[in-house]
Amino acid sequence: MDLLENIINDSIRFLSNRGYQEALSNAISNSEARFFNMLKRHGNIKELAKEVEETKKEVLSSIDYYIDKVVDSFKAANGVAHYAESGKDALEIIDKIIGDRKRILLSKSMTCEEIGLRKHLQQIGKDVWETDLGQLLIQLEGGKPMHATAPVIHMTLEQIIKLVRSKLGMDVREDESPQDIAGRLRVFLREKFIKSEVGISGANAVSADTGSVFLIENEGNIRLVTSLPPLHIVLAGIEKIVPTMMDALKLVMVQSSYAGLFPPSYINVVSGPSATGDIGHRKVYGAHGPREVHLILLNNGRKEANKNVFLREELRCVRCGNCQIFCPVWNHVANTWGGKVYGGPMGVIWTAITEGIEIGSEISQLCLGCKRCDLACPVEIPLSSIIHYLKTQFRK
Amino acid sequence: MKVKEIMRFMADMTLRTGFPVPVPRGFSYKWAESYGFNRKGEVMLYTGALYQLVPYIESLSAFLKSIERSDIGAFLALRTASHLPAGLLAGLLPEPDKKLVDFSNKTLKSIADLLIKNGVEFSYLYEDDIYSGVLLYDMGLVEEFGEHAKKVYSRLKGRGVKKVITVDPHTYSILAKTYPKFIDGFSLEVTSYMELIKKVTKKVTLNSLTIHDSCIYARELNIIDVPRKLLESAGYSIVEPRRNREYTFCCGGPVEMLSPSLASAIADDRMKELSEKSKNIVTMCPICFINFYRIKHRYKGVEIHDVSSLI
Ligand code: SF4
Repeated sequence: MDLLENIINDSIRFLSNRGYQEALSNAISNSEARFFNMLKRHGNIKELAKEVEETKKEVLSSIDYYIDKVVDSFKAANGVAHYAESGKDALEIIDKIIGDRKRILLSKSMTCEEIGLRKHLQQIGKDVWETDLGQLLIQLEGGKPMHATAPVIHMTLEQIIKLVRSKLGMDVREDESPQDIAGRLRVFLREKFIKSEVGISGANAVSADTGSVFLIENEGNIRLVTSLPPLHIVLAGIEKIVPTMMDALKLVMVQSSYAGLFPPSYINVVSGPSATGDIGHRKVYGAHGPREVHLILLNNGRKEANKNVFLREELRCVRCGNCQIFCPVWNHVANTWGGKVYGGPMGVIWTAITEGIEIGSEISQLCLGCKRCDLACPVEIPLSSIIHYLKTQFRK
Repeated sequence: MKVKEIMRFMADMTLRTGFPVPVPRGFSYKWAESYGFNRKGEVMLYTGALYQLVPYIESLSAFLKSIERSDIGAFLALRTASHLPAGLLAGLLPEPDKKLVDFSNKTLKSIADLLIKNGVEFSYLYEDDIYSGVLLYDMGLVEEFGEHAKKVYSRLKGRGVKKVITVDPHTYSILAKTYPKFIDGFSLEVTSYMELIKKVTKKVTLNSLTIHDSCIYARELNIIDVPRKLLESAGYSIVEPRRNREYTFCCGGPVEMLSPSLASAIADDRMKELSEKSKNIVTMCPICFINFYRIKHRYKGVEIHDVSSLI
């Protein structure tokens, strides 16, 4: 059976799961409403989005220059910068940095998913935990995240209770509230935070002028992952680069707005390791936060895509997931319509970028061509045209 | 594999017969037999046969569903079959739903009558009213599409056409937006019949209705207010569904061939929010119509109306 047929079969299974359908449908109508409210309340976001679109285009037109600039700035901020050609290279670099350290925490990152980081670390015997609660549930389930920012958008409370019971052996009662369960998971993870040796995060944006990594979140787990362990590793696709810190701030504002999470509870900015000069006027690293910070810039198909007139447009994606919320197909099958990691409109294209055009073109066939996704995108990516281009590559 | 076979079949059929699925001879202009339109002229009604094809696409997909469970050989048989004479092939498929055939004939007649009553002078293509090829383009078969589009274009030009009147969003869009990319020196003005109607001819028969914007009209052609104004001038009060105008939600039709259950789940989403507003749902595209028609029995008292039947 070929890939497309597999996807169709998976999607039929997903379609017939009442819980999934119910959870998705509720989440989607809430998200849509939040999106329209956001546009009403923060009219200036559209202007910011336009600026983000332009700065992203600028970076993509001189990507090598900007990669060098980030590397220099990150070094200047006393961090260690790396460049990984492929997912495999990134894993090797991470293995080397981690060495014998064992206890590792992850913050939700699609780019980490893209290179299969968690599974890899587990395979080589590390003790790895996701710290974003949604992503932790995905880890327990053994599946893949179903949305760019809301990984368990497809699970009902009932399904979550079952999962936590069976996988963590917790004695969760059927009538427990989301608040109760969050409390339990918080306690479960607390101890892991204290003992952790390595924290690995993604990035929402990396500014070239200062080498600063921007990360937004609501849970507060990213704060802890990036500050409690003595070693912090950042994995970022090269498309996350923006020219300045100000551009990065604008980008995270736009991203969180279109993801329906504006204002985000936390905006984290990391520029190099934690340091103090208070003791004897000498600079010491690792005061309260990490002593060592690494940034790995990942290519994995992005530079190649940047040369393709259609695919390059997707590289300015800020991963807000709004196109998924807008898509009728995704509304029913979530990321089962997609590649190994990415799904929905953005995901078909990201699959083509990271897994190859052949695979992307096969998946693209399920697109309705209704063009609703085009309306969703803050940075005006012509999603439906790119997907149509992928369709034209199907037989080649 | 299966998908590629179906695509191949439709492309071969289109190139060979002018239509993507097997159809009986003369099916596309049967509705116009009684009219005696001019066959040449600057203003031409071109239906692109989408309304007429709907019942036959329906038969083909029923056929495909029936062989879906059988082995891949059936799909290879399909490939061989695409070389048989179209008439013979049409005989192999289940009879099209008579109600659907009636629907498309009736719709095209009421469109023609509207134009006539509004004093629009136009000619009709009859046997040259072949498919626009839009499905091939949508599936990404751009080479085959380009070849077919040239054929359609030369037939139109051969009849001295300068302006084309279309009746559905897909044909309109493919002609106005895509043909120019495939045909050097493309010079046709494209319009929708709705844009030519100045006065409506029918009286209000329903209390209220809700409108299902076609994705293509709303998002590609910006035809959003035109049908509303026509319905309002006929005296209807329109209740907008939750997702309306440029944010309209797809009927699911385009994935019917690949995944009927997905298509029907999407149609259900839309039907739910439409029928919450009114039992009378207005469509303006034959694909939307058929996709709702298929699941209509699950919604008590709901009727689907093509906009032309109300104005
Ligand atoms: S393609 Fe646009 S809408 Fe979709 S996730 Fe990326 S930025 Fe958001």
